[in-house]
Amino acid sequence: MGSFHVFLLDSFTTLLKKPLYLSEILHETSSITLQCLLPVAIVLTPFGMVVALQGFNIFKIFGTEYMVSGLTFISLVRELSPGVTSIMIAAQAGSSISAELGAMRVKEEIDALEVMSINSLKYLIIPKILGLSFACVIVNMISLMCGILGGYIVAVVMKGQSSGVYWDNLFIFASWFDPLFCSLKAFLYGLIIASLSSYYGYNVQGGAREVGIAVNRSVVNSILAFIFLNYFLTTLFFNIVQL
Amino acid sequence: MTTIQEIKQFGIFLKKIVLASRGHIEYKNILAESYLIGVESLPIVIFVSAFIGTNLALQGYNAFKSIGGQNLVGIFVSLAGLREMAPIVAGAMVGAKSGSAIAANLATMKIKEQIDALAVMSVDPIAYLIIPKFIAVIITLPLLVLIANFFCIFSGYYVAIYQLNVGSGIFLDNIRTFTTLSDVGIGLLKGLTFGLTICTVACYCGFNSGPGPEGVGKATNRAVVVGCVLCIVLNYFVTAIFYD
Repeated sequence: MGSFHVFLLDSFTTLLKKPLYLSEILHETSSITLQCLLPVAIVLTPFGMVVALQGFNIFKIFGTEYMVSGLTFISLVRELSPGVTSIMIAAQAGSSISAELGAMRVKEEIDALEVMSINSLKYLIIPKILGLSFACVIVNMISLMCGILGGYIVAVVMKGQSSGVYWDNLFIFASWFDPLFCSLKAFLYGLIIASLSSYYGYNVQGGAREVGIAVNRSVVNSILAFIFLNYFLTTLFFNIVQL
Repeated sequence: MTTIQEIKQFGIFLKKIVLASRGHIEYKNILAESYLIGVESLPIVIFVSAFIGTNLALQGYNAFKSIGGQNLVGIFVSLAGLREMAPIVAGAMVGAKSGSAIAANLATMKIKEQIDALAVMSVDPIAYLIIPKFIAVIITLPLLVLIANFFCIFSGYYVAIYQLNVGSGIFLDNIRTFTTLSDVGIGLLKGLTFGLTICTVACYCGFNSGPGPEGVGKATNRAVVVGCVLCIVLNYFVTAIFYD
C-alpha cells in the first residue's frame, strides 16, 4: 500500500517536469484503443441485447414496451458500459502493460534506461497511464454505441418494434449529465487500471514466474479497486443529480 | 495461424477431452483442483458481487423513483442479480483469477516440456491434467453462483434499508413474491456454462502456448479475454432460450 502511493506520487511529480513525450502518449492511446476495441465491442453488443430482452419481457406485463430503448440506454450509460469496458480493458491492456514492464524489469532494460539518464517513470509509465486512461474513454463511447446497437437488434429486428419508437425513446430516462459522468467514470477506472498494472509490472523481482504472478495480481486487484470505487461514484452521481 | 485453423484446432481439442472423459479419471486430483478454482476465487467473487448488489439497489431505486414505485427496488435487485449479474460475476471472476492461473500453469508445463514428459510416461495429459479441472468446475461453479446471489441481495438490502430508507419488510416481501426458484436454477445453469467455457478456453490456450515467457504471458492474456467474451456471448443465448 505504502510503496504504491510513493509510486503514484513519484509518477505525478515527474508528470509536472519537462519533457512530456507527447508522441509516446499518443502512440500508447492509439495502440491500446485498437487492441481493446474488438473484444469490448463483441462483449457489449450481447450485453445490450440481454438488457433489451429482459426489459422487453418485464415491460410487456405493463404494456409499456416503448420504454425498452430508454432502459437499455440508461443501464448502459450508468453502469454497464464503463464497468464492462473497464473489466475488458483490465484483462486485455492492463495485463499486457504489466507483462511488458515486468519483462523489461527482468531483462534489466529499465535499469539500462536509467543508466542512459532517461527517467524511466517519465518515459515508460506516464505515457502508459495517460494513454490507457484516454483509450478507456474512447473505447467506452464506442462500446456504448455497440450496446445501443445490440438493443436495437433485439427490439427492432427480432421483436418487430418500429425503429422510430426505438430511437425516439432512447433518452427518456437520461439527461445530458449521464454521458459526461459515464466518460468521467471510464477515465478514473482507466487511471486505476493503468497505475496498478504498471506498479505491479515495474516492481517485479525475479524471473518469468514472477511476471506471471504480477500479471494475475494486476488484473484482479484493478478490477476489485474500481468496482469498489464504482459504488461511491454512483452514490455521488445521484447526490449531484438531486441538487 | 489463421482463425479457421484455430477453430479446427479447438474442435480437435474438444474431441480429445470428450474421448478422455470416458477413460480413467484421476479422482485424487479433483479435490486440489476444486480448492484452486473454488476457494481461491471465493474472496473476489464475494467482494465484487457485494459491490454489484449495492449498485443494483442504487440504480433500481433511482430508476423507479421517476415512475413513483421506489418500493420496487427489491424486485430489481433480486431479478437483475439472480438472473444476470451474479452468474456473470462468478464466471468473469473465476476467469480472471482461476482461468488465468490454469492457462499460466499449463503453458509453463508446456514450454518446460513437462506435458510431453507425461505423454512419454504413457500418462494421457488430458485425462490427468484437464478432466479433474472440469469435474472441479462442475462442483464449484454452482456453489460460487449461490454465494454471489446471497451477497448481491445482502448488500442490496443494506444499501436499500440504511442509505435509501426503504422499508425492510417491503424489500423482502417483494423478493419473495417475484422471484421464482427457476430464476435461481437458471442462474446456476448459467454459472456452470460459463465455468465450463472458461475452463475449456484456458486449457486450450495453455496447451497451445507459444515458446518462452512471452508465450506464457500471451496465452494467459488470451485465456482471460477470449473466455470472458465467449461467456457473455453465451449468456445472451441462454437468456434467449429461457426467458423468451
